[in-house]
Amino acid sequence: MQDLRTAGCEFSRGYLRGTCSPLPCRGPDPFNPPGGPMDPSHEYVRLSRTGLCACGSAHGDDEQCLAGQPANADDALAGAMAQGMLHGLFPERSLRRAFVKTLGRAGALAALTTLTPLTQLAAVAQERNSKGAPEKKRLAVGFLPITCATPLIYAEQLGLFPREGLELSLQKIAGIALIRDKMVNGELDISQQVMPVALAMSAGIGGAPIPARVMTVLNQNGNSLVLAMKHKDNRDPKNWKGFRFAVPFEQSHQMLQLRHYLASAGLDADRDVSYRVVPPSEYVSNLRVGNIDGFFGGEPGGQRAVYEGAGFIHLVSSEIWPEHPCCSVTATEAWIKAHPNSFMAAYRAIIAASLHVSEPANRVGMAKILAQPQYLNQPETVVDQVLTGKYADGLGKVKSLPRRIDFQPFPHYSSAVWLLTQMRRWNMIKEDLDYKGLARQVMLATDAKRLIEERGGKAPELGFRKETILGKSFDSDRPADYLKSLGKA
Amino acid sequence: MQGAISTSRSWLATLAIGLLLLAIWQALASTGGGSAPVELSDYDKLMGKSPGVSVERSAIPTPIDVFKRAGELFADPFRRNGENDLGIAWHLLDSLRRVFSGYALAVLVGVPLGFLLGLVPWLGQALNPFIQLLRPVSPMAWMPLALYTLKDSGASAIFIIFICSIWPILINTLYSTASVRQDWTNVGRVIGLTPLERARKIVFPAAVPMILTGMRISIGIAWLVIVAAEMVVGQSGIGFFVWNEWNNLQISSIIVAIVMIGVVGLVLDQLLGALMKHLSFRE
Repeated sequence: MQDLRTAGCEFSRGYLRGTCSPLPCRGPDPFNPPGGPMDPSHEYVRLSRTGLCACGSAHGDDEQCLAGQPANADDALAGAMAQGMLHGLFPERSLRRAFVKTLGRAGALAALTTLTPLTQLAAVAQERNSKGAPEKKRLAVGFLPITCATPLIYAEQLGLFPREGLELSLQKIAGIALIRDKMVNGELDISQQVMPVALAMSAGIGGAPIPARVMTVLNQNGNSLVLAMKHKDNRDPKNWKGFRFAVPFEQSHQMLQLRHYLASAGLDADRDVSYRVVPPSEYVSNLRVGNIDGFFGGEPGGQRAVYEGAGFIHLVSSEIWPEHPCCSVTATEAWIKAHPNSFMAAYRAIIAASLHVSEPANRVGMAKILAQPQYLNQPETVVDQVLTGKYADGLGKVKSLPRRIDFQPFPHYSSAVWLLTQMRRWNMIKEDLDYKGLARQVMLATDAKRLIEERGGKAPELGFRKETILGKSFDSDRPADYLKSLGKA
Repeated sequence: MQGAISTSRSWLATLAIGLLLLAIWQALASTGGGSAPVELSDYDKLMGKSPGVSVERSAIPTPIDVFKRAGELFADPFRRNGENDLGIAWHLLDSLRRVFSGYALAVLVGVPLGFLLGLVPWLGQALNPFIQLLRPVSPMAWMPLALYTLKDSGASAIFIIFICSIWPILINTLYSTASVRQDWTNVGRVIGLTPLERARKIVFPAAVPMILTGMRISIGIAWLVIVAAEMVVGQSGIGFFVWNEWNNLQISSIIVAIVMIGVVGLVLDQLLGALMKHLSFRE
């Protein structure tokens, strides 16, 4: 305390004020912080991250000591990250202190490093503020031949990867599981993926946990629930017992939305209907030959089914969950750590592409580009109806829905929490877990926000907002309450 | 003279039957048409209808549609518009590459192994039950195992070709080696050839025609199987092409591909046939 005073800091109502040379001191009084002892929101980290403030070295005995006397900015950063992690691991101050005391500074750092390669994380953190040479120039990026891939296709069309010093090898992949496997075995670097897969991989559903991150969301809405023509007079889901639906993947928002929709109509989503996992490009052919009664999938599958006379659009996905995220750009944590500079360069390129295509003025001629054989390989009018939202519904009506698809890149925590609660609801997740924590870990919202704003785009505040699903409000801040209301937990 | 007349007569008949089949196809495929209204509603436009034409979409295409599609596909067969849009020739070459890799492997393993088993009858009999057990297994049944162990879709396809083409080669080599006429090997004994020389100078040449028969059967099977294998794996090849066009409901392309697969299979068979003719002998 003496040291702080002599360094020029003053205490005022629990906060540090004044100037301790050479930088201004900000944040709560470390000895008597406002939110109780060691309030996790305090600004310790920020103080020591500067590495220059004289107060940083004064606190001494517990996790602060991990910061040590930083020799340079890099060291300070590593120290700050170690502290952040320590807080996550030991919320109790006494435990933190005991941990550091027992092991000593070097020992504690080493112990933390075995949990996560801190040096790598630190490298990532530094890269977020600077532009280094990419570790890998030629990135293999997978995409599915659906309209969700528009930002990736435009990243290629506009040459946004070369602008960041990268080469883009865009690879058309048939299905979701194939993409996941190719990402895990290293054939793909980053890839389009339905958003819940990164959550499922990180939570270890269907195998050992493989931590993955969602860099951006590729699109909102842009899915439809399509039924075969023979069901055109059977529009009430209550009567859909025995139906067989195609979905792109078990842990996909398509599956989760469909189950939610059926359950809300009073069906037993586990027993009354069956599901088949089918690659998006095979929906229409399966519908046509009667293998399935309907499908929930990304466009232009639904519109193509209408165009072929094989089915009709029962509803578009935004009627269930307005502005829901569909596909995302996903990378595994291991890949990000190994290629922090390539990662950031690709991140910037994809954000730029997303912002470009979400601008309505830039949609002129988009259908023509997307419809080409190397991308979606579809009739142009089919793609155009998805993009403009003026479409034939398959039952003789022309509908208009300007926001049938959008391409806002920001990854919301709230959507991740809803999807996780649904995975818990249908027992894909066997035990309750820290839904908000996992959402925060997987969705790189902070980085996306910074990059969007750097390019002059608008990003919402970070936080757990409310979603509206089937007309009901969902508070992503309270996932446990929601699960309880579903009779789960 | 008589022969020439009957040949030209059968050619004429072939041509006539072909034309007749095309005519029936054309007639069947274009029924149910009719003329659509010239004025189209908004909805019809969105459904991709054009004024005055009322062809049921994705009905079976007419021969004319197929010829048109063939013209499009072969206009630029070596097109390479990025990795995701390859011309049809690239698909064909990819399939041929896979077939030849797997087939060459099968010949390299099957002929020596069959020869050995034919020369050592007890060993041949010992392995016979295994051969008989594995031979009738559909090659595609191996696919999941191949994918799981090789962890590479291209290598798996080649393995499938290998496993399906090895049996005829192996069995034909085995039996032809084992059944070389006793008289001939006896002659070898009489003139004092060592067993190795007998195998090389008498048994192998005598077995060649039947080995080639096995190889000819195998290449046919390999070409049959590659299409199925590529429908399951791979992002290229003629099988992938067919499946991809089916998912896109491009029936004309599929018919073009079927004809092409037939022609290539015929050419492969004839090549082996010519080789057989060249190497066969009269007893």
